[in-house]
Amino acid sequence: MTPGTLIDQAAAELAQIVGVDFVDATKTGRYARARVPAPFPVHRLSERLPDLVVMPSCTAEVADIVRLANQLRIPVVPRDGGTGLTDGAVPARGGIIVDVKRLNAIKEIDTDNRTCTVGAGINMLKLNEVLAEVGLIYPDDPASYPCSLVGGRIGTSGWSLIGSRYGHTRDLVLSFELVTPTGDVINVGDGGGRKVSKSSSGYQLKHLFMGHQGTLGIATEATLKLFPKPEAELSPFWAFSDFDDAYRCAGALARAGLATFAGAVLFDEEKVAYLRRDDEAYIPQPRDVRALVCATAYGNEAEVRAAGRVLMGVARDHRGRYLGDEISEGDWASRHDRYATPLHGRTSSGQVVPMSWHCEDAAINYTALPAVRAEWHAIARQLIKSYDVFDDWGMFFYTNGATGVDYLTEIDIGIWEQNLDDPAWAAWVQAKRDLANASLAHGGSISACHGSCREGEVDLVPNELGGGYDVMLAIKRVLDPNNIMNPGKYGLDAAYESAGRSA
Amino acid sequence: MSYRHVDQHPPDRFRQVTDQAGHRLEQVYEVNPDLMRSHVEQQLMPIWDTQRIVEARAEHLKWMHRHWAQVTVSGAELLAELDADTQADTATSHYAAANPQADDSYPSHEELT
Repeated sequence: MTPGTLIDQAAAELAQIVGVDFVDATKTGRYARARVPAPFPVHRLSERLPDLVVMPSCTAEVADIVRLANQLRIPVVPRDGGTGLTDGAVPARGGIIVDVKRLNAIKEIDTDNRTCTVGAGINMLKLNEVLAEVGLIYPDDPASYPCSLVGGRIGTSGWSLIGSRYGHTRDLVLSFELVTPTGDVINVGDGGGRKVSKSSSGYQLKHLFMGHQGTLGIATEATLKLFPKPEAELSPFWAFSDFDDAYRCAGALARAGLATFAGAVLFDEEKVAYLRRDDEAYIPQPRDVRALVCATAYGNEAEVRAAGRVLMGVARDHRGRYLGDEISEGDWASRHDRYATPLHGRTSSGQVVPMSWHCEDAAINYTALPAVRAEWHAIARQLIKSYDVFDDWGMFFYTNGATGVDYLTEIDIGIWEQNLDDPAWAAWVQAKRDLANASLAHGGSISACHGSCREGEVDLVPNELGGGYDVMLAIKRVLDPNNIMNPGKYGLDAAYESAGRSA
Repeated sequence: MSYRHVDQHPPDRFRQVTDQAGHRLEQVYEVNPDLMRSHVEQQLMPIWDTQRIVEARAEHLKWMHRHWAQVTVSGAELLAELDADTQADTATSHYAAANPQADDSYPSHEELT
């Protein structure tokens, strides 16, 4: 934690920058900015509090805040919606949280070039309500759609439910303004133009400044690619008697080559069993339903209808049973808002307990999915056997892109956090490490979607990236010489340790 | 507005659908109360509040559909079209198999050879 006198000095100077009403040192304000959807280890939450919260209103104020922090050597952590699943927005060493929610203006809607320029603190749902008035949409669609913000999507390089049709955040953000760790303001995109979708001029810096989990700066403004609001959507769900048929069906759906195809999702037997506990769509399903597949399509109605007939045919050929319009449409609509789901798990005796949702994700090639599934569930079984505070909520596999080469692979684990203690926490961290190791052993990546900053996975990032990780360290040291921007994440402290050793 | 017990309290009888869940109100599923005896206390929900939540959720899902697209294509319709095409194809192939002489618009194999 930062010494109190230094915090007092920072608070006084921050009040000069943003106004006294937008500097918050209260316990409520600080705890509110330490929470994330799956806070863990919750029994150590008080270790992750910021010292101050500041809410700037423009890029110039953000730059002034960062320059002050750099001068005083106080950690700075950018926070957008706080919906990330790898603690990017959670301070590891106290300091200043820069809450960007006041940067939420729509600055321009360019209907001719189909772009808009917005403050990074705007939410996609609210933006799309305005864009709908001119028949356009910004199709970045995380499971946290109603509450995550554009800037957080940049900082985490977000994954979209309909990314197989429209691309993910990295594809949808054309350019953005960024305050670097030393307080400089730069614009990064393809080349120098704000609205250019492909440039071969210079290094491609856009991707470097996406997905860094707040360690390389704070996005303050973004120019986004827009699409016509779709005329039609389709989201059929099918039931299968065994996982193998469902697996083959998901692969065939992704390989069908349909332009309006927006994604295919495969749910395994453990996930179906979890859904049967309290989901009205699945409680009444016959006992022989052991796997589910969903496909989605968006576009002009004629295209979606034509594609839909192909998708329905593929599923029928793989013995998929259509679950009907009510279940299909209702389930899909609810997936745009998955963070509102109430959660409860089961003890080994079957009793209901309140549990928090924890999940591990990976990017896995289609051909490796069955093997990874088997290994991950075995790891989960061992964990549950050791501590009766864990519950296996099943796995799903979601196409990463249009060709079906790899899938966002996720296992959901319930944790009874009221009974979590240090030994159980250590077992969970080891399980996470085992899950990540299995992903790497099968040629995958530790994370397709959430990032890999948390304990139990972060120590394997150098293994995954090899020499690329050394480049990460070198970049961090050059851009953030005093290690003030979200320190303690991604093992990047090593950048400064090696500098010390070589000096 | 007067208080009526029947508007406030769901029926006592819990109809079990699976070992995990059942319902007291039509189509409003609840977790089996037997599974909530050790660690979770159940709350008495007035019927009107349960119905409000159910209706609000349905309204939210409907809103979400229109938020993303103007029309939701019915999978059931597409499947019916697919089944009709398959039946027509099957009928045609059965008819053709049963009536090899019926289609005289093309030359026969013998004629071609």
